[in-house]
Amino acid sequence: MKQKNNFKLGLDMVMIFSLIFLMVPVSMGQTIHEWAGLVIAAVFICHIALNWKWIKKVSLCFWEKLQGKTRLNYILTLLMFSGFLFIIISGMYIAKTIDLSWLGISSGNLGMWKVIHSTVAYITFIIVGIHTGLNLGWVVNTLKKAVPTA
Amino acid sequence: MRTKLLDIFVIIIILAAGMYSFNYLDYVQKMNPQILIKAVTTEEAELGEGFHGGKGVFPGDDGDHRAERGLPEGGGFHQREGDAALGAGMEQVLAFAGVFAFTVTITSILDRKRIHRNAKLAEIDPKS
Repeated sequence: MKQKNNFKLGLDMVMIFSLIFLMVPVSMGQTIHEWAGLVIAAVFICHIALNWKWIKKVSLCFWEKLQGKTRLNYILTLLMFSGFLFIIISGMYIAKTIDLSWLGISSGNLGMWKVIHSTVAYITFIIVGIHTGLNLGWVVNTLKKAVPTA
Repeated sequence: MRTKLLDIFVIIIILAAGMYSFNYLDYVQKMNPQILIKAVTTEEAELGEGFHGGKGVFPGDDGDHRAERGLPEGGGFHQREGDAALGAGMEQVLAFAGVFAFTVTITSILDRKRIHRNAKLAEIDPKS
């Protein structure tokens, strides 16, 4: 359990730092931005899989007696899931350096996909900040257990 | 009393940081609905280079001449006049930190109040 939590924490740190760099495409160049976007999509799926028990548990008893904080966290999780889904899909449509035509993706109205990609990215980024703040308690506890005591 | 004053002081500081980061959403607010509608409903061939190419959305609009002014590539939502990548990156970090700190403060204040309220309830009725 301790190892799983440490792994989750490490993964979360990677996600946050990657996300900050991804929000500034000129910092890493278009190619790295697109490839990093695909990698973070995979990391994002891992994050959901690792926290699936919590998602399932709260989904089943959302309308029952639950702390307000937990409900808020759940709603934010749903919003982030939708946000990242839009970001990843729109990113695939506007990709310039990665050829995704084999997936049957044709850009069509590029302007629309760029608008969706940018807008949703900014909003989702703020929601991630709130989500991280709400889960700070877990982060601190996991760090305390991870650091070996003398 | 001192705790309450400290709470108020912290909230003011965090609100200031939070307001900066919400001002960051000015990027989103700057998206004129007309431009959004145009981008969504117009075929790509009829648009300019688009938001990322440094040119305008509308046909014949060549944007803000970024290359001529020696500014880095990119336009629209990700770059403002004179922004370097580092400056833009710092904005993202500050926005994230502001929202994060704001959430943490509000959460800890609400948690403390809940613990205090439960402790008082336990004093009144130990069985509850």
